[in-house]
Amino acid sequence: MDNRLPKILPLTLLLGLLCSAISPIVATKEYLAVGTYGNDLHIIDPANLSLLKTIEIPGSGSGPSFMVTSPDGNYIYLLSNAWSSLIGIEIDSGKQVFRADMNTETLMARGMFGLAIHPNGSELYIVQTRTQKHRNYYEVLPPQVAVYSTDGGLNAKPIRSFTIPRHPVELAVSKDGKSLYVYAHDIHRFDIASGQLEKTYPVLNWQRTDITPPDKFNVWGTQNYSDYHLLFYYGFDSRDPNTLKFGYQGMNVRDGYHIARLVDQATSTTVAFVVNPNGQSKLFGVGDKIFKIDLASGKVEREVAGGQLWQTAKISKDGTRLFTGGGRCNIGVWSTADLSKLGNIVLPNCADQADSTLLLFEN
Amino acid sequence: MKHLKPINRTAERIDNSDREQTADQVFAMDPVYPAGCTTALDPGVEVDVSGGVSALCIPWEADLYGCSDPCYWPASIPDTLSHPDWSEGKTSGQNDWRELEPIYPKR
Repeated sequence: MDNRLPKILPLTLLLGLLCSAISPIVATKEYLAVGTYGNDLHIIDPANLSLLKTIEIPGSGSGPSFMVTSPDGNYIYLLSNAWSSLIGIEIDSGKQVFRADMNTETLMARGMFGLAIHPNGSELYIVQTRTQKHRNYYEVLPPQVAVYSTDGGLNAKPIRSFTIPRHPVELAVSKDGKSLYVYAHDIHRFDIASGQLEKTYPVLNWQRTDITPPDKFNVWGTQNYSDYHLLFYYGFDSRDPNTLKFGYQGMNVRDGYHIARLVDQATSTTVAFVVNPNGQSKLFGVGDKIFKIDLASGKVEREVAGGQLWQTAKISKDGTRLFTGGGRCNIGVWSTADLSKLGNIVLPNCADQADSTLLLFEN
Repeated sequence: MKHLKPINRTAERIDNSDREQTADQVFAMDPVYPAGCTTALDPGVEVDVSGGVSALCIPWEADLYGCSDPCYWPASIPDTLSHPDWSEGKTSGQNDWRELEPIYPKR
């Protein structure tokens, strides 16, 4: 046996203890972010609903709209300049660190609700609807997904792009980062690297006999902690055209399957849905009312009056609090257990959130 | 209308579309945002999706800017793609809506 071992071992143990004593254990913390008219981005502490900072977004326009965060929570990427610019903001410094202007002199390109980020934070994906300006007429170009590297800087250009079916709105990335789901009339799965169409999940073209072909409100399904990216749809009873039915449909982005359910006996429609990441068995719908729904069956377990229209929702990672935003200048907090209202924050100057998404993320 | 004769290329293209069977190539903007918002057909502030009023936004001002951005009620509310300055300086829909001005056709 080596006689040096007993001498080295206590020394390494001592060094290890010393390092752990001087290195702080960094706990992650959750933050809320939302955009408002006046082109402002607000960062909020969801624990006590206090405003931490307001960042002015460079450029013109009514305010930031769709937003996503980087996986490490250090950056927010958002659409501004009337949906023609994709901008990246470093949260700590408030500085613009990424910018992609999509318009040119002869090409009008806008993104709106179709924005997603790779799970490793390396790439951004944006739906571009494009129109070529000719001398005396417009030419509609096929919609496409443009892919940007997040280290593209302040004059970022797409690193690749691929054509997608018409009428696209939202995007969702699979948890393994290999597939991109395009929410259009149906949902289409693309290979992220090659842009090849792999599979189509029928929605407008599904063969259901209980409901008319659905009208899909393909917005407000945003980045959240759960494995689901669900959107609102409605139609009319096939046997009774006066009876409105609505439900939720979309992808489980971890296991790659499509889910569609009708909401059972709801008394009003919703605008947005979010699944509780704790257990992933309860779904919350928000609109003029707040609903707690069993995800598997669509059965409403509880509903409360929302007090106003809510357009976007997030749930804390521990699954205990539902945050609602959109429409006017309030952000509400609700208990996911019984939908009791826990609090409310009024944004500065009561500026409107308009179509800004509400982000909840860890840093 | 055989007595009409095209005198520019645009008119010629329209005139030839029937013969070249290209009339079906005219289709709505997709979705509409790059060039304007005249084809959004969703009901707006007057009625809800079922034709009634019970599912309208509470209050209606809650959806004012959400639907002017970019263009969801083109008949009722000026869209902010065609009229980006319409709500300039009026950041609170619920407080400032009285200051919003109608939009008139330009002469």
